[in-house]
Amino acid sequence: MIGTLRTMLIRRILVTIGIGLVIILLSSFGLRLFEAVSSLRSAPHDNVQWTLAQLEVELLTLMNSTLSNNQKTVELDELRKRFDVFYSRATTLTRGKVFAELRTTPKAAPAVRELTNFLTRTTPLIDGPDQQLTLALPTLRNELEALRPAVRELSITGVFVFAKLADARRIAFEKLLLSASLVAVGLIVLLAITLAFLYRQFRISKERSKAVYRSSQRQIATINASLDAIVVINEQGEIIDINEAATEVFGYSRDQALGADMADLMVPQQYMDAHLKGMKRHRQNGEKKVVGKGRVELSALRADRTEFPIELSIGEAADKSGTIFIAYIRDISSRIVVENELTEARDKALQGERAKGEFIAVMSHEMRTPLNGLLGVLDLLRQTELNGRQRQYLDIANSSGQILLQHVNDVLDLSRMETGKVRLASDPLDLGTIVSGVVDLNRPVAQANGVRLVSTIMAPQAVLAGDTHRIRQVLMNLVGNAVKFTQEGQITITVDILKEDDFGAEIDMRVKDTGIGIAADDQARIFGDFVTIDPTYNRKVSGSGLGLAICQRIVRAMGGEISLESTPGLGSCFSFRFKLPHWGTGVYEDSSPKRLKPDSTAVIESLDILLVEDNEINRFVAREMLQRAGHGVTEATNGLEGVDRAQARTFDLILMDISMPGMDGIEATKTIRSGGGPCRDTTIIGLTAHALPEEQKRFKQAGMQYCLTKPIRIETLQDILIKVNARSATDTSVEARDDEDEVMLDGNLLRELASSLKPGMFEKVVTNACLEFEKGLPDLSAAWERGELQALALLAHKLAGSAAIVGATGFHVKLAAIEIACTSDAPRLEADLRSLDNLSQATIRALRSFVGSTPQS
Amino acid sequence: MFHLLLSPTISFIAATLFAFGALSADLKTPDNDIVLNITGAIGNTNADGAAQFDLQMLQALPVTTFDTSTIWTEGVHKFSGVSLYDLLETVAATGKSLKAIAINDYSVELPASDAVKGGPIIAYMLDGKTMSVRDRGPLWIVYPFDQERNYRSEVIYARSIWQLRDIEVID
Repeated sequence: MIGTLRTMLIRRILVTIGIGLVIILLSSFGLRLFEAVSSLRSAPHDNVQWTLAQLEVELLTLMNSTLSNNQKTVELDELRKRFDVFYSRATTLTRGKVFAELRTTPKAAPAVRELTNFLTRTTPLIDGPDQQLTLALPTLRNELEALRPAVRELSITGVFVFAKLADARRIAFEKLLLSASLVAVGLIVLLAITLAFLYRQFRISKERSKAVYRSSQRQIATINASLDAIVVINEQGEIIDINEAATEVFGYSRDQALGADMADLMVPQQYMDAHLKGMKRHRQNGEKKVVGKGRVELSALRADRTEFPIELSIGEAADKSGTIFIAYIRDISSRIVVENELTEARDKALQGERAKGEFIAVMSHEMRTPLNGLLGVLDLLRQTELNGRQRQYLDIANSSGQILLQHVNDVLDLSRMETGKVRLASDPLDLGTIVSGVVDLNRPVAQANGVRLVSTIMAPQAVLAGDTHRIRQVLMNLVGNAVKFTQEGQITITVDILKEDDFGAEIDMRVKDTGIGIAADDQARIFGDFVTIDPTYNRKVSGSGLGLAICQRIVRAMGGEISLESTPGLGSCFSFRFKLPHWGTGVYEDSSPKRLKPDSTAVIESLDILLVEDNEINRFVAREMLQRAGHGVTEATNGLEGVDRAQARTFDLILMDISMPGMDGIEATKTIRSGGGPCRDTTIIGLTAHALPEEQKRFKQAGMQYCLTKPIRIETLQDILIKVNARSATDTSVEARDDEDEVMLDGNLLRELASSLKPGMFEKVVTNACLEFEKGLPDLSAAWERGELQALALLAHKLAGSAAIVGATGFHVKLAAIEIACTSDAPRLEADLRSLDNLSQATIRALRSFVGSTPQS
Repeated sequence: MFHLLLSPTISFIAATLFAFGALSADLKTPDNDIVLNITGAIGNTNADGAAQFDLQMLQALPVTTFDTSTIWTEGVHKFSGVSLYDLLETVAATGKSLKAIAINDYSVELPASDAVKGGPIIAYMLDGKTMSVRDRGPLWIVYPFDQERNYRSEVIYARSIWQLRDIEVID
């Protein structure tokens, strides 16, 4: 490439030098030619031969004039005139510069001398008196006669000399002509070359101009065909070109736009300042903000001064007059409209969703409140003396209430799952127990319909962890459906362990019936919300149409899938598969609310209870229940009154309704907790119909320890009271107040350990474990930082073992999770490790405090 | 180059149109020897169809002087005389050519267009002295050879007649 360039350059230089030389050569030739022609024109010679011949003639005339003829004598005046004429001729020859050459030739020189001598000799005689001249005439004649050969010689020599001279001049002229023709040929060649060169240049430039024309046509076509407006401006902001689309978009004609200031025409007031500044910046230091930076969304002005949104992209190019800017402008009005519509639609949809959620929450509250009263009063009624008929009616009323409650619970359950917050417990479970429980519950109805319930259960190798309640819920629903739709047949419940390894098992549960079956069309939609398939016989139990939808969501939340095979008339088979971890490996997050195990044998001492509830019925029912159980009840009808009462004296327990006019339960709880009153540390139980999980979280944050979902039933209330009683009986430090602490230590295990070990041994075991935790944690972090996952897993395993021995359940679960995560899930591992530090310290604190509180025996 | 030939023609035409100008006063009769005899197409005469001049009459006409060399002499000389232009004006010549005849009957024809201002003169003095016949006098048509290269041609040399005696203006 560079070589070619260099060769081209050298060639060009050589050609230039060559042409220059030729021009110089031709010029010098031309100059010489011109000089030669000039010298030819200005002839240095007269007609010399004639002059020489005339000399002879004048001599003869002079001689004649010296002769006297017969008629007259010699006329001296004539003689003198002829002499003078001859003299003038002779002097021309002897002195004229024309004859200088002739005079120097060897032959002519003596003749010239002779002639000069004659003139010198004779002139005095001619000029002398007539007498003497007359006397000298014969002598003069003789001398003239004697002069003739000399004159003749001059004449002849002159002919030769001038012939030679003429020859020389002819040769010179010939040479001149030759040079002239050479110059002419040179010129012609040069002209031909120049012509060829010019022709070539002409062809090239014609081709180029054609190409330029084509390209400019292409460019014009491209610009005009563009759907986007294109506006070209110069550095001063004047429009120098505008395409068809731009005239349409902006509403200016081409003539209006050209030469106008773009800012005046198209830039809205609010961008004017920035635009002018930007242009100025660019002019001053070439700084670019928008130019070449891709798309920018702005707005622009139309000819009718309306503003519209645009997408702008500016390119820059150099033009003969300086920098030009090419702006591509797209009218995005319709896009913005569509975007806004979409945003609005989305907002509306979200708003709708929120409204639905709120509606469900409100509805559940509104439905539960009267139900609370109804079922509570029914409970109270049952404890009065009733006859058989009354008891029967009571049963019916109670079961109707239960069904209604179930429906409300279904809707709430669904709404919880809708929010995606299905939280699954990870407690040890026994699939066999679940199945047999469900079978027992359904057997009475099944037997009544002539249906046999059969179950086949495969037991896992190790204890599995999972949410017993949810699995039972699904199974209950499926078996319930099977019972509903089967007459005179068999329902088979099968539990298979498809796969089991060190960490868990994959389970397949099936409920197969010989009932009416489900039509193919219905099979797909049966898992939808509020779907009921019209049965061909009277149902004993109505359904909300939510059962299978809820089952579906639960199974999905467990990472499984529910499926259906059915042939109408022959029966159906629902099956669901899911994985459960082995107990202790902690795959599921353990954050489910503590379930309180009913302990009917527990003896509860009489408690002093403050009941804050605005609803009169609810208050009445709750009071009746509590008083029957032997507790003292103080009532408050709203939040403010509740706070006042709590301020007055100490209560063992406060039951606090959440939604109350004026100060609500949350506010009241916060006030009691933050104030320095006697009830600052009293257990507060929230009463609510707001059963949504995020709501319950709010209650706990406000300072409530427990939450009771209305309607209040004697059994659940009893459970809570036992729990509170237990707390007040033992030290509250064992089971700490907040969520995390609840699962931190297994108090029972610790107590068992304490009683089974020798005195002093328990303290030693716990202290050692604490020391081990303190020491082990930095090692874990170090292993993580070094990226040694195997070492990390080993360390976690060892610590987990120690945690299990001392009943540090939370710590144990977390460590186990870390051990598993080492082989699979790095991101979660990091999160787990981060949270481990606090958990470890809290666990150590709790353990030490437990040891401190245990009586030394 | 060509304008030098063209412009004299125009000048001459102008000159002939105003033939009776300041110079065309009536010619007096010569007192001394006649040195120049002009005949032919002339409008101003002092003899029978001729304008005759003695040297004094010629010298009375406007004098034109220039220095030039000639091929017949050595070195540069000062020639003084009356310009052909003035002379023809004086005699109110209307012809197209002039036939000049020398003492020895040598004759040459020259176009009237040669008679321009700054052109040939009828010289009667060489280096401030009248010229004898031996010095090619008394009258010699001399062109300013050195001043104009066009005058350095054989045709002009041939027209530079010396020992001039008669001029016949031919229509």
